[in-house]
Parts: sequence; structure tokens; C-alpha cells
Amino acid sequence: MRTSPALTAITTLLPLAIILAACESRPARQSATPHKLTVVTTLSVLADLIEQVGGDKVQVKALVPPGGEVHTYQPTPNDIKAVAQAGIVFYNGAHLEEWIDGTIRSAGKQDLPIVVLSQGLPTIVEADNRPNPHLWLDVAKAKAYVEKIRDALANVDGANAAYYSDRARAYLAQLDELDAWIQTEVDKIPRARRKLVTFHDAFPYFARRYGFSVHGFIVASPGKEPSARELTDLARRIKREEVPAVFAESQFNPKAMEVLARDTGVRVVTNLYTDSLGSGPEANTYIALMKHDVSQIVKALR
Amino acid sequence: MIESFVAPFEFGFMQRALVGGVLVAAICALVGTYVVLRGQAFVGDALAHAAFPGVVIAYLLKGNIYLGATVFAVATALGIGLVSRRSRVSYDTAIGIMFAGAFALGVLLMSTIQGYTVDLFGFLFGNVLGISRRDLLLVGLLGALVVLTVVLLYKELLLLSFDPIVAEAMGYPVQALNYLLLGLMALTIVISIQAVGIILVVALLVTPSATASLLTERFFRMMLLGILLAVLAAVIGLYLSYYLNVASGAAIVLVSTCLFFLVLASRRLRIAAKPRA
Repeated sequence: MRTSPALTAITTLLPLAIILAACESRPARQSATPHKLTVVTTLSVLADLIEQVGGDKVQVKALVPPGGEVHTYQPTPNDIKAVAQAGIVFYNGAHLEEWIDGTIRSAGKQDLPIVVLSQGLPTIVEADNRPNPHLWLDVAKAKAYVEKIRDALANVDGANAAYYSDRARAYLAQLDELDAWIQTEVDKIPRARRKLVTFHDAFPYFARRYGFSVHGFIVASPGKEPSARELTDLARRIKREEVPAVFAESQFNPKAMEVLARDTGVRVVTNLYTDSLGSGPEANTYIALMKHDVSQIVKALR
Repeated sequence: MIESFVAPFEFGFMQRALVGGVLVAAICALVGTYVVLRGQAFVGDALAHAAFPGVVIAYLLKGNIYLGATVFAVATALGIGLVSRRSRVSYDTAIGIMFAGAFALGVLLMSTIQGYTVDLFGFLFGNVLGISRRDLLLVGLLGALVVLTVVLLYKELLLLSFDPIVAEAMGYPVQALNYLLLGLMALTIVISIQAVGIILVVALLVTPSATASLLTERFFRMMLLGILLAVLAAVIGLYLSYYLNVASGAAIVLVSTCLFFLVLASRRLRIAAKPRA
């Protein structure tokens, strides 16, 4: 007599499910790397900051892959599984990842530590009364993120608190260096030419810290197409305010920005990294990303 | 006064939007006259949706969007004919099966893209502001091809649309002409997608021609009137989109819809005013 495939499936899967459930309820999950803390975050940029602090004591997964677009990202079933298996979750907040609440809720894991990195930091509020989420492009704010990461990791993994603290101290020193380097680079641009027009509104914190003024962007928030009026007004502003160059971020289609640059007769740079690390060495860490962006901006505006 | 007519077209993208919008509207109305006469609005809608997976695949492979859309629209047109002839399934059911299936394939493929997919939504709702010089050239070339075909086969297509049985009796290749008209529709839809988008293109295809059919029963006049109404809708729509700060494709379509109801209402009023004989 043949057994039905459904019955076979149930008899094989049921014990397996029980074993898995048993594993799940234990604090340290058994795997090839037994003592690593599993960390889930949203952005690859945040994943790098966490890795810099956590070193080889953590296993970090970024839900949005490098090159992916965070604002319009659609989480997959695997993402929900990753959150369900995480020891701690970090995300940026300030309405950047509108999809994260639903993902965490779907994962349904009780008392999962969740850290919102932008929480409590002063934000720049936009015309629509919402905070701009791109705090990390100001290195001073990225340092605040790193301190939060250090404290949160020490909290859930007390045994390695000293390790995290040492690594954070070294990394914060590197970020101080980066901050000073950016300022000297920016000083090479004549003051009147420190003007930014970008694809989406990612640079207000960067601009405030390093002395730029933001003269506009094509989309107010990713996913919203500009109207004829908005695009014309932006083109007028570029000409009137003599903006030397316009910038597009690598995760967006550069076509709109290239067209705008040609119609207004200004230079265009299409490979800035903001929300997502690049896959190549020019921007595969937060520090590399910042150096790459600043070099591109200085080259185009000086 | 003149300033407010010229102001929106200060920059290249708006000039290209105007030229592109007018071209697309005119070609749509030309082909649309046949669509309205033959009662094929649903086919038009189906072909537009069927082009979507072609757009997504072209986007994934960084190929030509128009080529991808054309391949899928034409293949679906042929597929609809095949399914309805080879099975007991009716024509409109075959359309439903083919276009929903093709559209689902597009949505599925889109979900595999990690990056920014909003550009693809642009093809669903149209982005007349994003028309590049190359797009314009392509619209012009494909449009010329459509116009040329209609001019050369004017008599044949006319007879086919009014009386296919007589056409067949007179020895015209009716089946081939049917497919040719489907092909023309597919091509027209493909060049309209950038301007008004997949979901709204059927409006451009049928509304101006339907409005014209309220005003005249003569075929040639209907065609010319349809083109005129379509161009009018494109121009007014673009101005409205600029001054009211709303989406361009939807504005063009809604102006066209309004023109239809205006004409319908004025005809009704005139009929009502006539003394009964």
C-alpha cells in the first residue's frame, strides 16, 4: 500500500518542527558558530557600524541588500524569519523603514531587544512635519549611533561588554579622523559653490555639519514622482542660484537627473552612495562610502 | 497672458513632453477609430497590460524597453487569437486569461528586483516628463510606420471594420488584415506607455475616437476629429498638470473624458430641444 505524500510529509516534518522549536527557545542557538550574537538590521550602512563594534562576536544581517533601496523595500518571508531568529534588531527609524514594524510584528518574537538608532537624537523636520531620516551622513551623528550600538550589544551580551567597548573606542577615533578629513576636503570648495541638488533628500544633516546648502531634490520622498511644476521649479532654481553640479544616488535610476542636468547645462555625478553600501571597494564600508561621496562632491564643485 | 502660455515650456523636458504627448495622442486616435468601430476596447486594454512583463524584462536586462514591450504585446495578440480559435473558450475569456497572466508575470518579475522599482511604476501610470530625445525619435519612427500602414491599406481596413463578411466575399485576406490591425494596436500602445502608462493607455485609444463618433458618422471625418480632440486633450492636460501640480498622464486622460461627456451632453440637449415630429 502506498502512503499518501501528505502523511509522509507530516510524519517527517512534525518531529523536525518540534526539534526546531526546542532549539528556538534556548537563548544561544546551536549552529556552526556557537557563541556569536545574531544581529539583524535594515541598512548595509548600519550593518557595517554594528560589525565595526561587534567584531567577530556578532553575526550581522542587513535586510536590504547592498544596492537595494530602503524606502520602497518590500520585505520577503526570509526577512521575517531572520528577525524571528535574531538576538537583537537595530534599525534607523525616523520613518526611513516604514515596513519594519510590520516585519517585526510578523516575526512575533516576544521580548526581542529592538534599538532605534535615530531615537533621541535631534532631527531636521521636513515641510511635511516628518523628520529626515538620513542622520548617519553627518559623522558626528554616526558616532552617536556607534555609542548606542556599543551599549545595546553590551546589554544583551554582557560577557563581551569590554570587547565591544574597546572596539567602539578605536572606531570612534577613526570616525573623528574621518570627520576632520571631510572638513579639510570641503574647505577646498569655494564657499559660494557649496550647493547640493540630489535625487532624494538625503543630505540635510551632511549639509548642516559641513557647510553646504541644499538647493533641491527631484523626489521629495522616494516613490513619489515629481510633477511638471516641481521639476520646472527645480530647473529654474538650478539656473538662478547657479548650482554648479547635480548628484544622483547610485540606488536610483540616473535618467531623471541626467535629463535635468542636460536641460539646465550643469555637470552631473550619478554614483553617490547614501542609504546603501556599494559592492565594490570604493564604498563597501561606512568610512569608504563617506570618503567616496566627499571626493566626488569636491571634484564636481571645486 | 502670453507669459503663462509659454512659461511651462522653458525647459527641454516639458517641450519633449508636449511634442511626445501630442504625437502619441494623435497616433492613438488614428488607430482608435478602428478600435471603436470594431468594439475592441478590451483588446486594447489587454495588449497594454500584456506589454508589462516585456518592460520589466528589458529593465532587468538593461535592454530597450520598447522592444521588450512590443515583443510581449504582439505575442499576446497572437496568443489571444490562438487560444480562442483552438479551444471552446470565448474571445473575451481568452483575452482575460492572456492579459492577466502576462501582467502577473510582470509583477512577479518586478518583485525579484532588489533596487529601485518606482521607475517601473512609472510605466504603469506613465511619465511624460521622462521622455528623452531617443524616446521621441522612436515614437516618431514607429508612429510614421503606423500612419503609413493606415494610409496604404485605408480601403481594406475600412471595409474590414464596417463589413468583414463583404470583405471576405470580395477576396480580401480578412484573417491577415485582422492580425495586422492587432499589430498596429500593439505598436500604438507600446509607444504610448511612456506618456500615459499601461493602465491609462486604453483611454487615449478609445475616448477621442468615441467622442468623434458622436459627432459624425463619416469614417474619414471621424478619424480627423478624433485626432483633433486627442491633440486638444494632450495640450490642455499638460497645461493643467503644470498649473494644478498634478500627474500629467492622468490629466490628459481626464480632459479627454470631460470632452466626451461635454459632447454627449450637448447632443442630448440638442435632441431634447428638437420639437417632436
